[in-house]
Amino acid sequence: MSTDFYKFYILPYSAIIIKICRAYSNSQEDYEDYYQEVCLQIWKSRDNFKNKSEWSTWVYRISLNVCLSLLRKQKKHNSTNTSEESFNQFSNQSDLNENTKDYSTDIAKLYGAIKELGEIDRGIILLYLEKKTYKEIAQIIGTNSNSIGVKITRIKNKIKKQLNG
Amino acid sequence: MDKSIEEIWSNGFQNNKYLIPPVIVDLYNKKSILTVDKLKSTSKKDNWSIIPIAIITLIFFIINSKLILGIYIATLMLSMFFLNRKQLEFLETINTSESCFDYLKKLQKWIKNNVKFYTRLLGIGLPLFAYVGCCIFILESNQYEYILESYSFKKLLTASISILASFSFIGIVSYRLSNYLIYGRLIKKIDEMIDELDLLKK
Repeated sequence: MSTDFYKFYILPYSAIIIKICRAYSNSQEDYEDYYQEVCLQIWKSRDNFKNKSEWSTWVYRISLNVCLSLLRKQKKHNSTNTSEESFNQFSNQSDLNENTKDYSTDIAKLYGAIKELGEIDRGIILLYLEKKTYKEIAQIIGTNSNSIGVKITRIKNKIKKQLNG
Repeated sequence: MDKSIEEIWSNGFQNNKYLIPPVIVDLYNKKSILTVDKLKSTSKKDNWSIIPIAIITLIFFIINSKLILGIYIATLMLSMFFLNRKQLEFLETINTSESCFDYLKKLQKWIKNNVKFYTRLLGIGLPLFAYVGCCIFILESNQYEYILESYSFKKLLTASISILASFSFIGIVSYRLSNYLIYGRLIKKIDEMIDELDLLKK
């Protein structure tokens, strides 16, 4: 990846990538790996960008796809781990929020609640919080925009429950 | 919780220190090391799988009263195991502290040479060894006299050539197919990384 590409096409949108990667990763190390992988995939798929949407929408889409695929890979890998490894992972649950430990209490709690959501729901709420329109969310997630509003209400209720619980 | 989710989110990121991206370091290096490690472990597992197959084959032929044929095939398989092990020694010589472009290039060349080597071995060597195996089978079944009496030299020659050609075809196709299924994705990944690194160099 060239420095210029990173400087002009990734760095201005790094906030998007950071927020998404933090929501899908479970540790600081994971978060850094996710971030690097997203950047690499954005660079690799740059020729597929056809100017049909904004570059930021493209970045959201790739970030979500990469994070989802990495998370699934990780889950698959974890499910084949030995019981000892599983125990170690379980005993390291305190690391789960390691990647948001420097955040203010409110945002760290919100991230914690977001991480309790399903994979797709996490993406939807992140896009909603980033003030994307229902149409844009539907475009990025690849679903019908009619159902987005209802979904967001349900997700917000779940998060509120988590935060108040 | 008094604040709304939207408020928490927008206030939460007002401080820019939360949005400092991590430094991208050694991206390709990390990926290359992982790929080399994966290639090493896959090829080791693949090679070790020959041993139980050889044992099962030997037991199968002993049960079917074809001891010599069983020993012959098991010996061939063991030879294959040691040959593979010799070939795989190269993977241990890869120095991942070198530039990843350099060692990936070496690895790519080694893979290409290996594919050529095994295609020749299985395309030429396998039919010959399989032909000998067929002869042992006929001898062990005490059918050689019947075959020599029943078939003319021309017919036997035609049958032998057909057997050799069939085994050559089966050998090459099965090698290419198994190579594609087991190592296809890894080889593709290595090729892609080399292309990307090459592009970056330019």
